[in-house]
Amino acid sequence: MIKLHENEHIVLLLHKHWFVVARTVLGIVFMIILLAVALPLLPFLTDGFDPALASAATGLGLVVYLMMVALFAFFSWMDYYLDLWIVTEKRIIDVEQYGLFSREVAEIPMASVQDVTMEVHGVIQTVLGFGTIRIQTPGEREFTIDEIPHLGKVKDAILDYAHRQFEATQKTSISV
Amino acid sequence: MIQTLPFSVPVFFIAVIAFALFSVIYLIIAASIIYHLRAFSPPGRAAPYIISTVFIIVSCLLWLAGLFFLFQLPQ
Repeated sequence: MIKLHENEHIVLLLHKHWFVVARTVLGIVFMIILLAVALPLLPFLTDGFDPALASAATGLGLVVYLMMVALFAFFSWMDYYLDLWIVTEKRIIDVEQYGLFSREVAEIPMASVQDVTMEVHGVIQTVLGFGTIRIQTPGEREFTIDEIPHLGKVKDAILDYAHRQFEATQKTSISV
Repeated sequence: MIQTLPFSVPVFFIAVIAFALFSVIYLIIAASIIYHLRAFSPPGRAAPYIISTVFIIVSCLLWLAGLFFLFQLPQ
């Protein structure tokens, strides 16, 4: 579970743009269309076999196929849903989910954000309004958020909270 | 002409073992996905709970349908 600190709230919760997952969704739709196309052909394939055996085996095969499609759809959704970026007032958390049992969590404090760059490449990204955000931090480390929507809003929010954190840090250091 | 499988092929038992094996693998993968969603979802989101519940219901219905067809196989 991603635990937030005390007095910390989620400002933005970002998933990849829907276009990125469209290929997986199309794959699932294709699997269902394939089944719809194959169904009328099944009686020809089982022609000549014991009808009881053919009917039960066909039914069992269809159920197993549908269960596999459901499992693939559920897995794909989990992979999409857990691949996310959480922007809070204090930090940016990048969670990368690589299938099952493999994930990477990185975070940068808002106070260490130096520069935010917004990149949009190509016709599709321009038309659909998604792209990449690069966040420069001290020590030449670059933090990249790929294929996310609402780039302008995200960039403004990060810069705004980074500025507030920077000012808060400055005030604390002056008072000390 | 109706074709029948040779008597020596125990279709029902092979199907039972194959379906049981498939069910176990399915259960392990589904449980892993649900665990990941429960453990690593951002706090205060209802989507993982709703989608998991729908998936469990659909899976149970399909599994019961599979069981029904399994027992329709000639023993």
